[in-house]
Amino acid sequence: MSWVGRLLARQGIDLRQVAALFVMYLKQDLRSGKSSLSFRRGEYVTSNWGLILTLGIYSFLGLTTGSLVFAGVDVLLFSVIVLSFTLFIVALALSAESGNVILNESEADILGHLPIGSKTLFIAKVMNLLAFTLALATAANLFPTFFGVWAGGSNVFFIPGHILSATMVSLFATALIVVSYGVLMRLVSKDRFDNIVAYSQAVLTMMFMLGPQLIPRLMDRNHLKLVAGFQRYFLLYPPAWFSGITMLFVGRFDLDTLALSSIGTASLLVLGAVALKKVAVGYSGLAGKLASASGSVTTDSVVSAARQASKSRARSPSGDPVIQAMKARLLRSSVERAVFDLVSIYLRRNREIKVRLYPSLAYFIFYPLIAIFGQGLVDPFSKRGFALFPLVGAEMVCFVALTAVEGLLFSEDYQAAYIFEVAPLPALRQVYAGFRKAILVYIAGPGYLALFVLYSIFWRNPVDAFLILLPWMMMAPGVLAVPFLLGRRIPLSRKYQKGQQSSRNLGVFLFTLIGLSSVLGVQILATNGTIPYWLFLVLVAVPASIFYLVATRVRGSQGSPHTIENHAENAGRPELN
Amino acid sequence: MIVLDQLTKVYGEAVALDHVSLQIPSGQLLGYLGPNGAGKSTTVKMLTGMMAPTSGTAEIYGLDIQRDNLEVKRMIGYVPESSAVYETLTGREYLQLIGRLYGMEDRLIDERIGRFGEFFELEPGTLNGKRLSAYSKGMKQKVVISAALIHNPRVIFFDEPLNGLDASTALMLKTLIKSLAADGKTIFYCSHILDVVERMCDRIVIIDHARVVADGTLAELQSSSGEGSLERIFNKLTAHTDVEERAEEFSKTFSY
Repeated sequence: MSWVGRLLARQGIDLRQVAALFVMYLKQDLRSGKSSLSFRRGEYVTSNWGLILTLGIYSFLGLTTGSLVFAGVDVLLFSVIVLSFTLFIVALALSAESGNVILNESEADILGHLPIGSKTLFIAKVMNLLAFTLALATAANLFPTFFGVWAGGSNVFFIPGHILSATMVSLFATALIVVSYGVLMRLVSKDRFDNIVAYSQAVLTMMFMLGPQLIPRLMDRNHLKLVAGFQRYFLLYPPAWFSGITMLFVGRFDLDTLALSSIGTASLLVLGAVALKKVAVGYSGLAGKLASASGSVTTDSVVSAARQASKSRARSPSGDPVIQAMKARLLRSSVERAVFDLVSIYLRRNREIKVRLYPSLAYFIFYPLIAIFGQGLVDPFSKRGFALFPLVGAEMVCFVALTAVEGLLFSEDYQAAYIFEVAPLPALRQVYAGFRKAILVYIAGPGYLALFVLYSIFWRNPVDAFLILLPWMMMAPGVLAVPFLLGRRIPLSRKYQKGQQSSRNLGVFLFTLIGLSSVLGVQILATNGTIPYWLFLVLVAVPASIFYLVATRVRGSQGSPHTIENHAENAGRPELN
Repeated sequence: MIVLDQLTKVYGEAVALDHVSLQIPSGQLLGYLGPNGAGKSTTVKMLTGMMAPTSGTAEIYGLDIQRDNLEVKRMIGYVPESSAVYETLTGREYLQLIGRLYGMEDRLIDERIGRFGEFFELEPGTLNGKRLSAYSKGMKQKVVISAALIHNPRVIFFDEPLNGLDASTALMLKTLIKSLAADGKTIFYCSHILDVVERMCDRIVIIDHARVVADGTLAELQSSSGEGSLERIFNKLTAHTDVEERAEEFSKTFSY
């Protein structure tokens, strides 16, 4: 055993086990989920196209962010902006992926009985998470790392400084998420853990996303102005702490940069110590407890299953007459009702789905909150100021709903989707309809309702609130039909793999940004009075209705009989004997 | 030697295992039976260190399953009912992972993989070239069993190990299990296939509603219950004596 191994062994960490687990996790992440009949060496690196695509897109976004340097930005501000972007994308990825890494219940049967210490398992999982976030951060900072040399007051030492600070930002975000999970695992009872984790991750995502926007607005009201030099809010702003380290590398030794770098380093050390001393110890036991409580690991857990069943009966919508009446109207066929119930139950009860999807739900409230803390949530019809963000908020409900569609394709229970192959479904249209309607009712509907309430309160004008949201509500059913035009979309039918959620979220985000921005633009013109608002509503309603009617005619084929999809496309299903 | 002393597991108000005490000497092949939800898997998960008991103790070769958790895990092997594996790995990669996690040398791991591959007739092309996701259920089960035995454990927990195995492999495995017991290993065998348990096991423990309702050799159980086959003994002890009548009645509801 090497001296490193001996040192770690004294801390209860088995280096060889950490290496074995880490390599295994990497193989799982880098290989595609497809079940191929032969294994080629090249598949190690190239076959998880979701991950490759995500890295490619982040590199491009990094290129555009890094191009700020050519606007003559000061090196400190440039570093803060780039590291803010890094923190943003790392947070997005962590919110989508971390739950699946840290709380992987399906692993309990594989690893639970093996002689792996808590700290060893914890370290391996954190390394897995960190490898993913570092890959994303590397992609995002590929161009800015070199572009920064040309920032005002910079020099060639910006490169090593920025590499270090970007790494520390990734470490910081990862450590924060891990510690938050660890605290929750200890403090919260098993029964409430699912919801608390999902909602807390949503809050954390909001903090990561809002922080870069809110803190500048709150402290200095600089909004989008590019202001050189140290700003007071930097002391409360994590990306700025690590920018301080970059500044030390480029030779800016002053009290401000020393303070920033000290805060950043100290925060990382504190989080790391808490993670290792508090979270790592007993991690296996906590994770095992959660796995056994969920009932998804043991087939003999009648107790936990009985408890869950009684809760589900209490919460089941089948007992509510309003819901029943609505379902009778909305869901004409039994297939639609079956899929609607399946999707809605998983949205409400499944921990893995909740932890993966709920953080994304924060996006629709993101822009209105920026407006509230910035120039105020202005009624677009009032023409009293900058009123883009309420409209973007409405647009983002579509984004959130599309994210939910993509996210719900994946589940740890993917093997149960065989039922969609063996059931007598001549076409998948009704499956798609039930799936879409569940998202409309449980995601889009509450999103619009929340925005309606928010806007009505702030504007004291519910009519304006309704009119702003109306075009987006009309478009939502059609927008939700788009993914089903691109391929089979059976809910909960694919095995989840790292990078899938992030890359799909990105794809959906770009579609929303590019595809729906034209509508946003016309709505701005309509609220300004450039075109009559009623005309805008008609221009939205007619094509949206036609598109919806056409798109929902897509039949979708069930697939050839007696097989569970084409094996080359199917992730993780066993061959039939 | 496995010793359970008043082992209990409670979830809120529900008792999953109720003060179970057992002693299982080395080399014994114990059949552990019970209806669904009786507490079998709960027992196994506590003994394999995957779940902490609410009260009571359990020791494996003198080591407490809670206090000496890692040491206990080093000497046990476990074949779960779920046959869960990391499906992105090939069979060889999975067994190498397990071997390394048990602290085995790579040379020994490779040697054992070769031997298990031969025994279970897993071709090198399959073991090395196909991911576990492409394996049939039976092939996957062979890998899971290999993983449980690769480190030569002293105690082995089997939970429905014959799932998915063809007849000849099942026979091979049953013979292997009996040989392992004869070699002094302690075997804890959970199954619903009563005729296999009846023929294989030295001793049978039946658990129902979290409690042990029978414990003895087949002959002892037959004598105490007055029934012949293990199936009838089981149904009598778990209060399922009218299953045939109920099945016949129920089938009539499907007649056209």
